[in-house]
Amino acid sequence: MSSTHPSPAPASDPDSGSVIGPSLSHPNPGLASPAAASGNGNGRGHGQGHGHGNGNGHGTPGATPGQPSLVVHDLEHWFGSGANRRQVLDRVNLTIHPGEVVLLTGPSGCGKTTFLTLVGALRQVMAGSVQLFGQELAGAGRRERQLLRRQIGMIFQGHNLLRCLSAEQNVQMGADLLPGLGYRARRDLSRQWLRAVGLGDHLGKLPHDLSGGQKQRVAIARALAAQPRLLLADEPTAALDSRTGREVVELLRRLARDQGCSVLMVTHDPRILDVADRLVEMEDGRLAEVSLSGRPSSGSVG
Amino acid sequence: MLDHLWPDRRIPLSWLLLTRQPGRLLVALAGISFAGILMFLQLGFRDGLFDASVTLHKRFAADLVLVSPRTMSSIAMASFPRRRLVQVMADPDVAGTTPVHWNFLLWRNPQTRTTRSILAVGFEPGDPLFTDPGLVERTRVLSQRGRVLFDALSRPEFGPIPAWYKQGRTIETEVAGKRVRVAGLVELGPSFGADGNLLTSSETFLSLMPDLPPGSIELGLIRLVPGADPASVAARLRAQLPEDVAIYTKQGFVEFEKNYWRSSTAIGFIFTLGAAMGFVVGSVIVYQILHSDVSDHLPEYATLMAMGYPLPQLLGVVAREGLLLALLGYLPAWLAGQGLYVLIRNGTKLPVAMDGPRSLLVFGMILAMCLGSALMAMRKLGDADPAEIF
Repeated sequence: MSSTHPSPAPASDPDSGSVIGPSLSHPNPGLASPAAASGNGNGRGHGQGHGHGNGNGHGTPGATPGQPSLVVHDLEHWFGSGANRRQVLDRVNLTIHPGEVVLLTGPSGCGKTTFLTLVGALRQVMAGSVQLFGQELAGAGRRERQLLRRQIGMIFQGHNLLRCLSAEQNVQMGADLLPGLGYRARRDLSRQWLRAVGLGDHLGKLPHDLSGGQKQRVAIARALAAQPRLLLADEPTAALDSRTGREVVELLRRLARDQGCSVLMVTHDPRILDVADRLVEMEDGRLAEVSLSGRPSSGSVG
Repeated sequence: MLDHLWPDRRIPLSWLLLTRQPGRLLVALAGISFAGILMFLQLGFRDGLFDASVTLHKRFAADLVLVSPRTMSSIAMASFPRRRLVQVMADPDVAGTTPVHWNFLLWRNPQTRTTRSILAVGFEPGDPLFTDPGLVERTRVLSQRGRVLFDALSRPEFGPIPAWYKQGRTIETEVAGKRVRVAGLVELGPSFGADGNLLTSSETFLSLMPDLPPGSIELGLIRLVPGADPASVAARLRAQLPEDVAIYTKQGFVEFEKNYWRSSTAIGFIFTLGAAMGFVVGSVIVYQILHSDVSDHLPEYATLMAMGYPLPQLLGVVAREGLLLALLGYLPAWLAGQGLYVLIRNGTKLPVAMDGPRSLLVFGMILAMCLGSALMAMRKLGDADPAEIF
């Protein structure tokens, strides 16, 4: 029943612990949901029903409908101390709602990457507030941040795949983070995701034998296989030629949207700005909303 | 199937890290196996030498053994009055005794005419000397004067006696300058102190050593009635007998001999040190391999941490790598050890065999080596900072 459903894949209800998979309608119409393929019936009817129930095409994976995925309020960060103290982020504010795709641009060294590591729970918040899915990151301990990171997918400038694992096994390193799924279910899920990014014929290949664009697509599949609610991407197209970069970003946006997963993507690539729902620009540690026509609007984002 | 038995199965990262870098794995396994072989060799030699010192001791048909208190080892047995063995017979728990002469004599190789020291054991033919069944019957031929039984396992330097004997040749040669005839073969094996052995009657023995004080022996074997406790009988006899004899249980006598070689020679130290060197070399190799493996994959470990894998789980990956290396490296070491032991047995006639305790000991050492190195390499994993990978 799932394979012919015309609408984008419904989101799951995280409270029910259901499983969602890659898009049902793209790119392969015959693709069955990994949830269905995995034999875990739990996700199907319930998740589907829920998705229709709240009438939201993107789905609302948040605990409460309408709750933002990410709320950053007056975030500050600096390196060094005393006279050497260098302010990197200065009262940054940003809110991202479920399913939104936000692009972050700015000159190099302006603090974009630091911002990503803070939002990604990889760094301790010094001042201000970062709320991920309603949970405050400021003051969160190592263990809390590690658990929160399981809900965040990360795609890096380099693909950062594990060299000794095949494409399928790399993706399964993401799927292995899902609780309550058997080995076979997780493996099938990984295969579905690789097919969804168009690498169904390269399951057993090592990263060494894949092209740059293929590696980045494996990285996307790996990030999505853990069913994140927020996807952070740092210049995912930097190492790719323009056509491949374009394909990868569009794939990323489509799959993320189908999962109701928000995306925050840092990029320098002007050719991919149009995939964004919103565009923000960072300069000297400050963040400003940019209208999609290209001119910075006044005031910071709240 | 496996899915039901083991639903929590994860990607076997440790296994893949090792096997997808076959060059590095091969170097690691070669290093571990080398260390293991070295340990098997050194410990095998050490235990073999100690065991070899008691090849004859272990076969004595005795529960208790009388020796002179001046005797420190089997290579220099002092004599004591034979009367003491007669006195022992008075004890109700004693079933029988065997007086034994024991000394090193010069044997002339009948082929090359060179001489070499051989251990001669003299006793009354028909008396039980060794526990080997059938031996008593074969010793009957010794009642004829000038006859000896030659140990077929003696080192070849004594001459091709077993081959000649089996060809049916009459073998006559000199022992301590007196003519003797080989009347048969026994199989005892050389010991640490003796390259070869011969058995003869007390009468022949005394004719070979005419200067021996009359009524003295080097060894007294005592057999007890069934059910008697050797330790308590030994204590009782010790109290009754004068100070010119020392009394041991059979096991105590074996330990006494081994202890001589252990404490008054450098053998134990040398070979234990050799085994320790193997341990150290192996540890260094495994640490180098694991450390460079962790260093090479540091960005990948950081990526896994960024994905939400907890550090202890990644430490477990390194620990499992160590465990796998230990298991994979031990197997070739054990097999090569078996082969080497065969070579040693053939080359030296030492009783070296792959026994359970030593197999376990070497496995324990390899395990400690690999897990210890993994533990050291884990510290490197602390350098993986997921905040650095963006």
